[in-house]
Amino acid sequence: MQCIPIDFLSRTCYVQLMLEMSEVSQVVAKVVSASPAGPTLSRVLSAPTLDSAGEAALDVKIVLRNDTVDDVIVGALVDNISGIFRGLEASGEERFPILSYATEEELAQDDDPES
Amino acid sequence: MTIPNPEHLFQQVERLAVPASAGPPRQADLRRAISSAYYGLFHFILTCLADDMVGVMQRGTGRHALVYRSIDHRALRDLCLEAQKSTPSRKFVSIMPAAGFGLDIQSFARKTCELYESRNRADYDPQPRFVATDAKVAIGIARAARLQFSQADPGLKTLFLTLLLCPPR
Repeated sequence: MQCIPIDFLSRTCYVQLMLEMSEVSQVVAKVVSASPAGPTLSRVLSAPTLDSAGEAALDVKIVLRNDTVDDVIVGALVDNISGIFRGLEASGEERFPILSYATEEELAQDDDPES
Repeated sequence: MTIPNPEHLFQQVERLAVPASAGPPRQADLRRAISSAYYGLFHFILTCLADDMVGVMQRGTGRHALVYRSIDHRALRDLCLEAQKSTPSRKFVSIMPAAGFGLDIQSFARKTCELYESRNRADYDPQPRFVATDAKVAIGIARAARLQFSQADPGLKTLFLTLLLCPPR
């Protein structure tokens, strides 16, 4: 988390800023790792973005190893959503996380951009 | 009058997420799949609303259709954002229960917002590249959200639906 000192009426105050992207990824990875989907987690990619209303948001991609993404894993990923929201909120992050999912194999695919 | 069956839309998602032949599913199919997952949930909540406000026995009537068609996507998203808050905004304070909407509706609201944003990207943003796993999780989110709203406290559900139809000014 990034904090910056500011001088406020000659007293030093610290203003908490938004999480760094690596910290966002760590929070999300921690939630997923602690769930039944944990063993399939490969990495988490995070980037700043805008939501549909033009507000600052987080683009968070949860990347899974190339195991089959079966119903159990999907169920665990769905159950993780509340935990991810709570984890980010507890870290002082107010931006909305827009979650997406892929396996490493899917990420490596290079299909037709117009398809 | 035919009310779209959410489960049929979810089954459509499953069909679209499977490649017809070799190679990954088409982007057009995946985008339509994610959109349909959201629409399944959207039609579910519209049905709940019209059934609650007008009555299940009134399905097929103009009055039921009037309430069904009165809600736009933004209204649902705005209420879902509010429903997630532990402390309600000022204009909701006098209406919302002190303890908030409870875990079921809060969880439903988070999932609905997630699908709303995903659907927005799938329908309008040419930049993201979607994969089959996105679509599989989108159906999971939509089905789980439907279940959580269905099993929520009846009084809180009615309050949520009332606020959806009549947002405080």
